[in-house]
Amino acid sequence: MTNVIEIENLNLVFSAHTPREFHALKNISMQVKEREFCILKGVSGSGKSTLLSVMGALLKPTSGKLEVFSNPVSKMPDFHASTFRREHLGFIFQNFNLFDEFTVLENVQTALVPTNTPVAQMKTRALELLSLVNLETKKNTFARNLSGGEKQRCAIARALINNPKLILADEPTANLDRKNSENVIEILTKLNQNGTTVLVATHDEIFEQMVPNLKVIHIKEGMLL
Amino acid sequence: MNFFKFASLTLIRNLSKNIVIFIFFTLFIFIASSFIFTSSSLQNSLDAELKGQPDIIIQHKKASRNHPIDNSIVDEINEIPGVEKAYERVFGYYFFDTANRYINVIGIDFLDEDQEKQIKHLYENFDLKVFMQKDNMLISSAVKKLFEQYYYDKFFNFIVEDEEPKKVYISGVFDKRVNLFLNDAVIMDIAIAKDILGYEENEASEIGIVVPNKLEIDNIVQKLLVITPTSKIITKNNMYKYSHELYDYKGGIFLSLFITSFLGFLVIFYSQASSISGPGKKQIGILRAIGWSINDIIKWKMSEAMIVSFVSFLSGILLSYFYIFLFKNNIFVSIFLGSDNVYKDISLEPFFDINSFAILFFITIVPYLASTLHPAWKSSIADPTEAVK
Ligand SMILES: Nc1ncnc2c1ncn2[C@@H]1O[C@H](COP(=O)(O)OP(=O)(O)OP(=O)(O)O)[C@@H](O)[C@H]1O
Ligand SMILES: [Mg+2]
Repeated sequence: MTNVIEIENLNLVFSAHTPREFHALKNISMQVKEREFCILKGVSGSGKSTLLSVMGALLKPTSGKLEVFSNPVSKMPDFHASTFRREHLGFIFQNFNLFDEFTVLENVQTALVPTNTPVAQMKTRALELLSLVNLETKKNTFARNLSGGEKQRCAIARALINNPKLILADEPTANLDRKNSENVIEILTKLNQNGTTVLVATHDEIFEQMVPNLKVIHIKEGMLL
Repeated sequence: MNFFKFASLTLIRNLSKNIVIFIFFTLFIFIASSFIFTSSSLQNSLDAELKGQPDIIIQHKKASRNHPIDNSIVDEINEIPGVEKAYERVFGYYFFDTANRYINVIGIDFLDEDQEKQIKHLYENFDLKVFMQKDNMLISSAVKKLFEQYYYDKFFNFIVEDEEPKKVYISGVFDKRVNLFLNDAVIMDIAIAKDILGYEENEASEIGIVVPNKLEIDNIVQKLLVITPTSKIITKNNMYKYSHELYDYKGGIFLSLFITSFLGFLVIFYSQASSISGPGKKQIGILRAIGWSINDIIKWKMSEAMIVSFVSFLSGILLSYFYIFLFKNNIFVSIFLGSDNVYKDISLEPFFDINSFAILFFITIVPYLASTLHPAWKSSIADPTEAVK
């Protein structure tokens, strides 16, 4: 099986050479293989979000090798990195990060704005995804009026709009109750079974309870255990 | 959804945040465009008025003020080849002291077949035979209003120095939409007007000369200088030039004031846009995470700026169009004409000066977009990990 993510000796130092210097990621080496469902586990402040941001080309590592789908994403200029993110990655966040003043349907479509996708096609695709996450009935509801669970499902639909082969989720269940967490994990599991690689940063036990063949990576103080 | 649709959504759904800038921008455009509408409409009526004027005017100045001119040279001027007609013109301001207002008294020869067009059109519907039977006058509707305030609804008593008051009957009102410059006018027989203005029989305000072939004007001016070397000779071209210079001068003052205050507005706007707020940073962080590039963010922000500025631009122009042309007595007219000798009853002819608006476009929208660019870029490169915090 091919590696979706390949990291070797990766380091990230915030505010290097200043009194506030902070070594957030230390000598990280890891792989995530195609079709894997992987969680990155660690306490608060251990570096989960930071590592996810690096993988998503939002942050540049200070040193080391990072390839996602064999692309050296950390060395890409912004324009290519953005296109890469849009075409290959789906991001899901702890606090949903929807545009509150947009409707569900509009939120799902935002990722397609920079593409020249025809309006009708954009809408069809968005509706497809809303039915996948069981949210078609709320398509014209403003995001601010959704419940937490609905918000996260809307965010998942948004992350899926470009058919990403890799999903990066940062504590997607941290703000949800048990029922809604199960719901989100079911969706992620289904996607994973259909061929999407999933990497979740979390300290929620529920993943270990629900996901079969789960790969767990432990992180502590910026180092993998 | 494209950038424009997206930008209009973010603008509309955050209306309370964007309304201030929209109002300010619209207000600026409103003021500037009211000024443009007023000045170009006035200029346009002035040009139309000048068109009906004689080609050459001879005036007698004393201490740079108009002084009655001796009309005996009219016959001599009529002899000059190329002159179609030379004639005396009589007009002047009469001070109605009870009302503290000036009235523009115009004396004309009602029997003259080739009367100046803009004057002739005022009385073409009146029966001149009846009119000439006694001391009659025609007055503008603004003057009528003024007279009625002082119970002069049938006649008016003009006070004449060392004489009995001159009683002139009001035989009609030219209430048609009149030229702005006849707004405060009364017209009457030339002899009565001379009486009222204190002229001798052989005196006139000025002498008008009609020259059909414009190429001969310079030549004729030379000959006039021989006939009456101390008089001031003004050609129609000079009048055009003078009026345009006057308006350009006022326009220039306004423009510099406008640009200064608009720049002030841009500076405030710029500093406000540069300090990106927490929610703004978050939005950008989210968009970056879901695949928007720095360029995409800038395109979005610029689309917002374009929408705001275009909509404000059009609203400002539209509002001022209504204000200037549908309501009488706007304050911009008094900026140009002064408010003392103009009756507060002026409505302007709609006139759209596309060049001025093109200039307005370039001195407002272009700098606005330029001042949006840097904050937009700055916010787009802000911490892209905002979304995962
Ligand atoms: N921009 C930054 N500059 C300096 N230090 C940072 C920056 N971003 C994160 N850190 C530090 O890096 C460490 C790891 O942060 P990170 O957000 O990755 O933790 P986390 O494992 O996601 O924690 P949580 O479970 O609370 O989300 C923290 O100590 C944090 O303070
Ligand atoms: Mg985190």
